[in-house]
Amino acid sequence: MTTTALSRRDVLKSAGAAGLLAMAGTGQAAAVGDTPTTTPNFVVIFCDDLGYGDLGCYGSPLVRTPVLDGMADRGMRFTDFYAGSPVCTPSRAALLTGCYAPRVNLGRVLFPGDTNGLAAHERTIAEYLKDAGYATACIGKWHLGDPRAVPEHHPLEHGFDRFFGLPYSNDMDPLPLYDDREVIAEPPDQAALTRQYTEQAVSFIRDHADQPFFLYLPYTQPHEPLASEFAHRSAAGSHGDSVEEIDHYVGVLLDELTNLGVRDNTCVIFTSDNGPWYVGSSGDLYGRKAETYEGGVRVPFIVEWPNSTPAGVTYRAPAHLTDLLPTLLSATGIDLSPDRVIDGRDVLPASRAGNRPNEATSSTTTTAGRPATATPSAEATGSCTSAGSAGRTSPDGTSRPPRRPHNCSTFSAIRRKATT
Amino acid sequence: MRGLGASPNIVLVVADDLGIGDIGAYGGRLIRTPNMDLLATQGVRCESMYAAAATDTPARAGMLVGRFGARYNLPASVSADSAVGLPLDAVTVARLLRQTGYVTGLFGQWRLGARAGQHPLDHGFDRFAGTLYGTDVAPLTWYEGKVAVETEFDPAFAARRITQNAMDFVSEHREAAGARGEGRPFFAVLSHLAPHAPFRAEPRFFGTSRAGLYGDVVEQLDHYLGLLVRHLREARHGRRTLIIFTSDNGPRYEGRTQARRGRKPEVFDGGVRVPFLATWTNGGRNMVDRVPRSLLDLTPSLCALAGAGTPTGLDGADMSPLLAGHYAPERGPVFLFYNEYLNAMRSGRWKLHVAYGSQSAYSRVYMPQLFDTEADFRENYNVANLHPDVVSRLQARLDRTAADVAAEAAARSEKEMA
Repeated sequence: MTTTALSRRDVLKSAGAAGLLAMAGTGQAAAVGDTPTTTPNFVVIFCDDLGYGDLGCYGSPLVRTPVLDGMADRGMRFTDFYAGSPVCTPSRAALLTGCYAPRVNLGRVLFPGDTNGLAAHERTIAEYLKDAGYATACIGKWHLGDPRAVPEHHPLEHGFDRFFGLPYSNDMDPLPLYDDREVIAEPPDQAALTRQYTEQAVSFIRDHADQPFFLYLPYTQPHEPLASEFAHRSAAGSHGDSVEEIDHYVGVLLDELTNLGVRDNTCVIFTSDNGPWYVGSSGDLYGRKAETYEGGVRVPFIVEWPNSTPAGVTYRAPAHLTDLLPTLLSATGIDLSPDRVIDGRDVLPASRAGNRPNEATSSTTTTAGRPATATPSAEATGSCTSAGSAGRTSPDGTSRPPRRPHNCSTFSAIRRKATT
Repeated sequence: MRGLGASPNIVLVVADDLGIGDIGAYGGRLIRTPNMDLLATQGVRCESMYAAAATDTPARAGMLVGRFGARYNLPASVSADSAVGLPLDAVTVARLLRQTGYVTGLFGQWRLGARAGQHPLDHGFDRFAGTLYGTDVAPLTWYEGKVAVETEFDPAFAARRITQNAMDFVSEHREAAGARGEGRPFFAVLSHLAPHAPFRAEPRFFGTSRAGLYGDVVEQLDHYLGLLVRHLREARHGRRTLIIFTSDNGPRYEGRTQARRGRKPEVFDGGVRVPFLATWTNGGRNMVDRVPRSLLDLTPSLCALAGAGTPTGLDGADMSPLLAGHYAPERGPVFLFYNEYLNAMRSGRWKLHVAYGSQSAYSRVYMPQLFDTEADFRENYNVANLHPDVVSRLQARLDRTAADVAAEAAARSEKEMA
């Protein structure tokens, strides 16, 4: 692994200057000798099977999410954010490596006992940030290898200082709950997990409040089986209970950041790994988990970063989960390893300025790892695929719900043929 | 023969896999359906009409017989090599109307069997011109009666030929009836092949819609519906004519479901809700009906309108007061079969799912699902945990029907083996 140009001293010195540089709107900080760079804390909350239409601020008629709605009011809400894949493992691989899952050989969902997993050669966001002096934790669902089958697939081998959570989905068996390398329950009380993850997250932040930290918080809910200590509270049944409980605990986390005085220097991101499964809403979008239709791959994405992201903005240009790694690194002035292809792009400058990122297409892989290319913007000339097109904005600024388009490809091909 | 003075002519037009959301009157904006829309403004439009089953063959059996296709061990869709079909003891509405004095004709796709005793002419239709299968079978033979007249019929021209045959049937019948409109009423079924996949459009409709080839096919279907309706209005019978337009089930690969969940062959609303327009040629009240109903109701309803006796033991309910423009009767639960599996039911505001697909153990894992269609029309949030009493009540009702149908299907199966 290559080390970056930053020294630990640089990182600590620059903490105070982070806010100023961020306000200047420069995504990249010059890393010359002792010049301060931005070192925000990052909290990435990643839900399991939470759909595009499952939050209040994304139009859910029944699920109440006041905390997340508040985050959207104070930060940015993306309307066209695409998960790494319509299913768990590949989506998580895309988030942590910045690559399309098949590129890192994680195109399929992993099961207990599988020997495939995240390779040592791959660099996760955690590894980059850890090398730059960050404290790192993965609290929640891993699903990038079974440490019992292959110890090298443990999160602690991939840049995380701390792991508390499950090695894969909560509907799998056996189901060991890890505390670092130790299994402390098998199976755990699933209804308690959202709270327990949050307690561990709070604990981690408290322990590392005086240094930069990266908290990756992949909640197990609302993946089936649904389980929550908020049972029977939501008008949206058990799925609603799970989402509302997560909303509550995101609030606990945000309060903790405030209490520790690090809220202003923390970028908090909330998103989901793919669309809804047996229950849950994809809003007006067609399709659900395991499908490359919009409902399976478009997910909520909210980012609150005081003094950095503009407040109350709805960002409509398409972005993708692979963009997280290059964007977070760009924000910290860390260079990407030059020895590999990173599929994601830095969306920071564009999103701050409200512009579209440069590239016009983004790709989502199917469960079998074959790319289903989505042409995301309305500017794309005439061709539409069954993977859908982005919703259009009416003159009054409201987003028209995207409809499942009809397949124009046959027509286009025939028309081209007819006119030649 | 009892007096047929008041018995109306009845024309039933059935599309194949048409998306309810593709019709302008149901909120469609991309595909042009002026003739369907006109029908909608001039008569009854049902907003909660359900297919008789999730797939072609049992859906059509249900429509024509008024009993669940699942009772007859029918496959999802009769294919060229199946021996199964509608048995002779399944009494179709055509046979019932014919017994009452109607002359009956089926034009288009039959899809209820190809062997002896399974032909439309064996099931109460005086006239048949059409195909035994749909666009997914090639080559496709066009029959006149039981005679094959074309062995490689191009389904692109099916809508035209079906409509032409039906219009000829109506015209011949009018001439035979005489100027004073004496003679027998007619019952004509136009069973379209469109827009079932693969989509086949006539060259002049090719590339004309904004919704790809599927859109072209739907616009073509609408065009021929317009010709039919004009013909019926101009035909000046002594008796009035009821035109019904619907689809056998919801859309499959393409087509809009009004943003509801699922598509054919699922029993989520997107797969089983169908358009239903019923208009009289001599005008009538424009009514929008929201009571959940089933196409199983066609048989008893048309019998009632015709003054024919309705047999007992039907699964459909009589909705003729609605069709007659009088009032909208209530209806009991709507049961939604996928093949032989009773997977879901709709009762008032509730939609209960007990299994998915072929009811594998895995498919029952997160069941039952109870959806409140008023608060959650997209069937997104399972509120079974909040209404366990509703779940028990509906589940018991569903189990009774499932057992009854399964028992009959088993008895038939045994009889066939014996």
